[in-house]
Amino acid sequence: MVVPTTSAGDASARRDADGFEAFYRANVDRVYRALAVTLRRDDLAHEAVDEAMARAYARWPVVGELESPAGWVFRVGFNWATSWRRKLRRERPPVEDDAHPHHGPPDGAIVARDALAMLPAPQRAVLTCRILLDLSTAETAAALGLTEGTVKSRLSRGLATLRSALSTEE
Amino acid sequence: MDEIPRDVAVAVRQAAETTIGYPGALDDVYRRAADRRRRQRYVGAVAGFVAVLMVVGAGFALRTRERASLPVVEPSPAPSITHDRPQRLLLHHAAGSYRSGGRAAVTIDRRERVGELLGDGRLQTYAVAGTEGWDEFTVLDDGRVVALGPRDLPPGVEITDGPYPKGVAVDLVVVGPDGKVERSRNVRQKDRPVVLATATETTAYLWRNDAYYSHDLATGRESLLVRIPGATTAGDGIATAVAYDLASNMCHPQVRHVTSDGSIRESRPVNLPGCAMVFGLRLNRDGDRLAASYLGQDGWRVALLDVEAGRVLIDRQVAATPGHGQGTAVELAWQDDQSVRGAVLIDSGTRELLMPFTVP
Repeated sequence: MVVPTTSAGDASARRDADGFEAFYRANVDRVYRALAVTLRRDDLAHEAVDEAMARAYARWPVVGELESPAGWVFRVGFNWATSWRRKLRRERPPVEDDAHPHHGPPDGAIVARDALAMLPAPQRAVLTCRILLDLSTAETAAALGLTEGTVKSRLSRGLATLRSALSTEE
Repeated sequence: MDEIPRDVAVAVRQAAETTIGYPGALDDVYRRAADRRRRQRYVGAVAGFVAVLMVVGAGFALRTRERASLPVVEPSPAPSITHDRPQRLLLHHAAGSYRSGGRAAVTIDRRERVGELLGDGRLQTYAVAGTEGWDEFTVLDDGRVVALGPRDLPPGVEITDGPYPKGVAVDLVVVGPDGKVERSRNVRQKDRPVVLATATETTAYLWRNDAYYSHDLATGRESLLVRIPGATTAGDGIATAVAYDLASNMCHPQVRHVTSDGSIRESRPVNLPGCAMVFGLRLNRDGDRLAASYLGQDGWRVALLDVEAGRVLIDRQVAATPGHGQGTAVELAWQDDQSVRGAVLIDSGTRELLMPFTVP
């Protein structure tokens, strides 16, 4: 645990001044869920979203002006989590679902989660940006640093796999 | 296809709802940001010091550049390969503090040092140089290291060619036994994540997506050796063969041999009974034997495979099933054509363990 270096009063004044807090409160949960679905690791998603939010805060005058700051945070978190520093943790075998601190999910949610798990991470990233973050194709491309063609291609392949998996389960 | 079918969108949202909401707090983010600022100030100070050193050393650098601009000497022919030398047991996945054989703990973090477990049980480390850390590395017989790792570019210099972070290069480096960087080349390519499989004195062998390339260390020229659609990145490679597991047929590792005339010969897939996930593959120097580490029903196992016959020669457990939140990695190295030396690396979350083993 890092010891805080500013007083509560300083932090409060800073938060009110920059508008970052409003962005954080409005977006942190959905970006976290999008990362959790994409990375398939709740703890890694937590760490990734914290890191990405910290970077967003450090550059807020610039990030806050972007078309989709949430998309930027998602990309930074995703890149950070999949960078070499996280490799060891990624290579741990997936935790058994019973050990996940999930709410008792409906059957359909489990099926969907399993189906999503079949997709390569880059396809999951595109799908979660489009669906969970409500980004357009262009915004997804900008957020993930891809061309629109690549986004469409990954979306198309991901959707085909998902639909096939979901219809098989039905 | 740009529209999202409603049923798929609903399913994905349902999947996201199965995760308990964000468990963090805004103060944690502020603390993390403050931490980053402190680190950057430190790096800035160090950079300033380095800049002064660079000015002082400009004359020396010019002389060095003259040497560097000389025509590149053609690489000498690959040395004849003797296949009786044991492979080095490199600890690619080590990250932490390890003890071996009752000796003092050695820290291996891949940012500053990587490690090798020697035959006598000692841990040998190599200082990371040329990049911010080594994703993969191999140690040549002459003691040089060929490694691949990221390098942050100076602020304002961005590479916008792919899904990875902007402002990062991926350098292939050759580091001498004295720790000095002998060669360095940015090998990052658009949409083609790169993994170093192995290297010889003259050539690095790289995975790029589902293709396997030779990369001339002197010139940077890359040649496609074989493309394997659907191959997972657990594969290993040598100059004449690549080992892989297909995502569509997991737990059935295969080998493709690259013959001197450029043709490809494919071995039959080998079934690993009870396998849930292949962690790593290691070819012997001839490419006719394959060692596979995998997660079986009773824990981590290592199987030695006869590639030509397509059968398992030996299969034994090397570690118990990992506990919740525990990371396990298995490193392998052929000692001869019959036996493999290995190490199980366990990260329990609070401490790291290294457990050597030999198969059989």
